Order: sequence, then C-alpha cells, then structure tokens
Amino acid sequence: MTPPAHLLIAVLAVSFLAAPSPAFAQAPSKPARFTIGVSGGIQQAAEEVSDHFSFPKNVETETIDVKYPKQPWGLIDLGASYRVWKSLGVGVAVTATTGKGKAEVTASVPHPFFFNQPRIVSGTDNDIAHSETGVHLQLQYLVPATGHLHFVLEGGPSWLTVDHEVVTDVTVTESYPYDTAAFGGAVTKSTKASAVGFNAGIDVTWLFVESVGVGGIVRYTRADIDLKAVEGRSLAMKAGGLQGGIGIRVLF
Amino acid sequence: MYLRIRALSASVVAIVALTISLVPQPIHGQVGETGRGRTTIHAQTTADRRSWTSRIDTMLRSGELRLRQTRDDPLVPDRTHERADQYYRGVRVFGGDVARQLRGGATESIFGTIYEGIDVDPSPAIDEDRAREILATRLGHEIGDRIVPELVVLPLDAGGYALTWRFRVVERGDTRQYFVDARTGATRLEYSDRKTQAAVGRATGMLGDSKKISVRAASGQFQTRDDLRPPTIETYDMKGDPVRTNNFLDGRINLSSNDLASDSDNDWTDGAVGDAHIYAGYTYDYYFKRFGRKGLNNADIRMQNLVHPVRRSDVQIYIDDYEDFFVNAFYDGGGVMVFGEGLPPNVTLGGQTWDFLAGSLDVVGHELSHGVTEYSANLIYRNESGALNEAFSDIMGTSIEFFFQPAGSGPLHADYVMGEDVVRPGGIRSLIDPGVFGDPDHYSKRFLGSADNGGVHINSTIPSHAFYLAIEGGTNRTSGIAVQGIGGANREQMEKVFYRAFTQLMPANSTFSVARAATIQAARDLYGANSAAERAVTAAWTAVGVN
Repeated sequence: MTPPAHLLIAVLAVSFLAAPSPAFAQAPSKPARFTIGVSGGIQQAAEEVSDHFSFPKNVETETIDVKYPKQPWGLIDLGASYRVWKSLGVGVAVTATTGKGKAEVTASVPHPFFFNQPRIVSGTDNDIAHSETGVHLQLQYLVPATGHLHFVLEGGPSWLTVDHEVVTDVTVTESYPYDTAAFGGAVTKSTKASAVGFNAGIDVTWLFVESVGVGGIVRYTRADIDLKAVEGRSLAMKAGGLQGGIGIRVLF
Repeated sequence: MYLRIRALSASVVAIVALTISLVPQPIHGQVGETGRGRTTIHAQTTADRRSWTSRIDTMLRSGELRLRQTRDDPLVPDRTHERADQYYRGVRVFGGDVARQLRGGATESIFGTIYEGIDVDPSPAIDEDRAREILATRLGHEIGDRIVPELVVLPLDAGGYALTWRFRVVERGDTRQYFVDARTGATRLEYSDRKTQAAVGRATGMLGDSKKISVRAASGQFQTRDDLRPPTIETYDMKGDPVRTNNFLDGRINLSSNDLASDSDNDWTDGAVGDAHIYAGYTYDYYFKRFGRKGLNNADIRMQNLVHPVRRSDVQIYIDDYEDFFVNAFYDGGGVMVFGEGLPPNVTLGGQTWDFLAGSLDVVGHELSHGVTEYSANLIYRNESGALNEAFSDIMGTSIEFFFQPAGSGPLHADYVMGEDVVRPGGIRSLIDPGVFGDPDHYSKRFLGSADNGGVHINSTIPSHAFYLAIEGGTNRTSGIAVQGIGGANREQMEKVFYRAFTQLMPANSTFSVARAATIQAARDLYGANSAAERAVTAAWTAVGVN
C-alpha cells in the first residue's frame, strides 16, 4: 500500500471518528472568511503515455516501444481559501501523488551476426517510480450555503511537476547462437520536469459542527510536460488528471 | 586446371527485500547476489543504508575495510565518494570492496561486495621470490623485478579461499593476471587483463556485399577476433609476408594479437579479411545449428584464419615457392586455415581469374570441414579415403552455401559448384556434372594414377555427385541410371545422413563402398528402413557405380 493510500485511510478514519451525529450538527451562522482543508484520494492519470525511440545497435537500428498504462495514483491535497468579497474567493491547493507504475516494453533487437533478423523481446517493469506535485491557484465561487452543505466552484492555473522514471533501454538475455533473446529488464532514468497548466473543480463540504466538516473534492488538472529522457529526446506526458478525495474542512 | 584444396594433416538473485529490522545484526541491506560467502550490497533504502553504514564503520574501525580513495563528486555538489577495500588479517581480499556515496556526511548509497567466512592462514609458505620463480618456470620466461606481486586472499569460484600471490604479467600481445597459491605454488586463477570488448561491425565482402562482422574492440581499434561465438575465431593479416606465414605454419614463430587484422572505424573494407572471418563464423554456425556440433573438434577448438599470405604483385617472385599462397586455400590442421591471395586481375590460370579465395563461402566451409574430418573419421588423405575426405568437404561447403544463401546461380547464390564466386568463370568443381571440369561422375571413370595423392580431388566428385543425386535426383550421365532424390526442401535429411556417416560411422581408411554402406546405415538410423532418404542414397550410390 502506498503512503498516500495510508494517509487517505487515516484521514477518513479521523473524519468519521470526529463526526458527531447529524442530530447535533448546527448550521453556520454566516459565510466563513477562511477555509482550510486536507484530503486524501486518488488521481487518475490524464492519459496513457506511449514512447517510441530507436538507436544504433549491432550495425542496425534497435527500436523500443514503451507503454505507461493509465492508472490511479494515491493523492494528498492540502488547500486553503479566502473569501474576498461576497461569494468570490481565492484559494491555493497543493497536491502530491506518488507510487509505482508499470512500463510495458517491446523491443526489436538486431541480431549480432545477421542483418534483418531482429529478435523481438517484451516484458513489463512493475517498478516505475512516478510522482507529481501540483500547486493550484484558484478563483473560487462559493455557492450560497444550504444548511450544512457548502459548494465551492473553483479553477485557475496550475504548476505541475512530474518526476518519472523513463525507460531508456532494455537489457536482453541472449546466448549463442543469438537467434532468440529474452527480456531481461528495462533500463530507466529518473527525470523531472515542470509546466504550467490549469485546474477546475468543485469542493463540497458538509459541516457537522459550526466550523468543521467533512469535505470532498473533484478536480481536473492538466499540464503538458516534456520529460527529457536522454539528450536530444523527450517524452511528452500529460501530467495531472482527474483527482478525487475526501477529508476534513475547517472554516473560520 | 583445378584448385587443389587440400588438407595437409589430418539470485540468484534472491532479491531479498530485507525489511526494516530492529535487530542490528546480522546483515541488512538489499542482497543482490549471495553464495560461497559472497554478499553483494546495493543499499539504497534508508533502512539498508543505516544498517550498512553502521556495519561498514565498524569494519573500517577494525581494519577489515581500509579506505582506498575519497573523491568529491565532480557532477553533484555536496557529494563525496569513498572506496574501501576488504582485508582479512592484514591481507587484501581480492574483489572485496565497498563504494559509499556521502551527501553532506550522511550516507546516500552503498554498493559493494563483502566476502565472509574466510579461514586461511595469512602467512605465506612460499615467499614472493619463490612464487616468481615458480611462475617464470611455468610461463617459460623471466618475470622482471619491476613486476611486484601482491599477497591477496582469492575467493575461489568453486568456493572457499586461497592465499595467493597476484602477478600482472605483460606477455605477447596480452596482459594476464596470475594467482599463485602461496602455500602450494599452484596457479589458482589466471585471466587476460587486457581490456577488450566484443563489438559488431560492418564488412564489405569481396563481392561488394555488406555483412556483419564480430570483432573485438581493443586499444581504440577493432580486431578480427570473434568473442561472441563459443570458440575463439581469429583472422590474421599476414601482410603479404610468405616467409613469416610459412614460419608460423612450420611452428617456428607464434602469432600475437598484433597480427590480427585491424580496422579503425569498424567498417571493414578489406574483402579477404572480412569474408574469411565472417564465413568461418558462418561455418561454425552451420555445424552447430544443423548437427549440434561445437566446432571442428566438437569442443570449440580455436579457429585461426590466415589471409594475405602473399601480395598479388609478388606473383612473379613467389609463385614457384609459394604457389598455394596464391591459388589455393588449405586447412593446415589444428584449426588453422590459409586462404590464398588469388592472382592479379590481368593474370589468368586455366583461362580463369583468381580472386581472394576467402571470398567464397563454400571454399571457407570446405576448408573448415577438413578440420571436422580431422577430428572425427580422420580419413587418410590418399586414394579413396582421401577422395572421401575431399568429397565430404565439398558436400559440407555446398550445404553451408545453401544454409546461408538463396539458391540460384551467380555470385552469392547457393549451387552445386565449388568456388564459382572467386574462380571465374565457372568455379573449380561441379557436383552436378563433374565432367565439366574433367572429373569423373562414375566409379568406372575413377582416376587410378598416383598424382593428386591417388586422385583425392579428382575422384572426390564420385561421392559428391552421389550426394547431389540423392537430393536433387536425376540421371547419371555415365550409367544412365535415374535417381529419385528427396528434393531440395528435404536437403537437411541428406546432409545429416552424410554428416553422420562421415563423422561417426566411417573408419579412417574407408573406401567408396564403405561410404555407401555407412550412408545407407545412417539413413536407416535417422529416418528408418526403406525411408525416402535411404532409397535415395542407395540409388545415388548405385547410379555412380559404387556398390
């Protein structure tokens, strides 16, 4: 289980333990000026990432195709907002995801003795480290509260940073006469890049006491990242994705 | 005129993801490889680093590890790299060392190998001078005082340890490490320390074709030594020096790696060098893939090709003394092949031009097949057994062509004509119609004189023509007997029949009649009584008059 998943469970546990019976809940007397929140959840990657590259090998060209499947990552979200005027506010949120993903690799490896007799090898590396951090600036619209429920529509620019292990080569297991080869493993390189993107989402809070509640967030964020895998070659990746989480909100 | 191709003589990795432990001992860390007392360290997690840091600091304090080097990281600021060697009671453990990366004084990573369970007496029974004498006697030359041996504990491949004197000796074309047991004087380990690396290059053959060539990279250049195939295959450039070539063949001198053909950019343009080297590899491949044979002696004997034994421009000077170095190729025994240089383009012999003999795959396969015969039936090189020796080489040379080249006519195509790619026009012998070159296609026409060792080349076409008929079928021109061959698609069967008979069943002094019986037996063994293969080979021998 990944650390964010641990944290998510912890956050949920605290949330539910802290939540009193609805019968004792009270509606807020007036809109809060400040809100802070912490959530745990998941982020579904924006899209599957594919890579194709080649380099000279055995006097021919070795080609490698890599697919990094779309998958959910554990998410931590910390946010704070300030109501500026009436229902308008500004906020900032910081998100972090981390985990181990997969890389499905297929390589066409030239034969050492003969032209046009490549060996096709394929395999999966299940230990591809991936992490993202996002700083999201938000313009917020606080939908007028209805009882215990508070809705916030929000959106704005994001600064996303991706740290991702990129496959740069494969190792093959081969022996004379080299007519076949087996996938030995992926050679990877950790690479990091940042880019400006956007975010848009909704935050829902249910207050079980005057200034404390349980919140949920659904946000879509995205930025186009170019990860420099090796000199002269980059891997285009859409960072971010659909984020969802629940946690605690404190209003004051 | 024909080419007298002759044979002169017969985890592992148990990747143990060691979890964080509160117990300080024993070893923590990710153990990548263990066995025979060896522990490979690649500690990268916090827990591993903590455990190994503690352990290494303890070893440094006790002297089990001694710091050899400390360097600041030139690429990453605030990083330092330490290297420490393992010692056992004051003696270095060969191969036991640790590399630690520090970040601001804290351990960032540790990689290394530590040997445990060492139990040897660190006092040598044989001193340095005596060890030097022992090794010098063994190598047959003096070891200068400049070479200072080091007393080390050597982890043995078979397990255990030995106290040894380590010498690094520069020899002919090589630099070798020797480990002389400090108790018994025996050489416990030796290996080449010359830093080389297998490489794949491109070679343009004599006929302009592009092929891959397996070589080694050494000292900034590439040399024709194939390190990718199981046997060592080397191609030596004799640089047109027939005297030196002859001296080597006579055993008066040795060749070193300096005599290997070399190229600076691994794009080989010397056709004779490239073809000899590559086709020798192909021949090894054919025997391995078709028959599971490991080289000439079935034990991966070294194969040495000699090219450019003379210069074509020296034909007037040397043709009388070294004719074979111009218009012949021959197997000299012990895995040594010599490929003739051919003749200048404006000189013909028998109305034919002669190019580098190494440029024809069937010629190279022919010569190396003499090596196979040498280490199997060892057919006596005269009269009928000699003709069978030659026939087997033609049969295998032709089969190798069909294995690697598309069937057809013309350069770089597989056919039943020998040497057609280099001796033009026409080649030197035909398995389809031996009479084209004046050779017999029937036993009744066999040469009975004493020349050519009793007709070893001339009469070889009788059994090789039988091989052709057994595959392709047809009618023998002399007997008029028609043969139903097994067909080109099934040629593998007949190749195996002849290989089995010639390398496993036949004695050294075989006659054609024995070869007939042996091939029929081989066909039965492999494909059953009255199989198509047995019928074809029986009919083929009958058609050529051998009963």
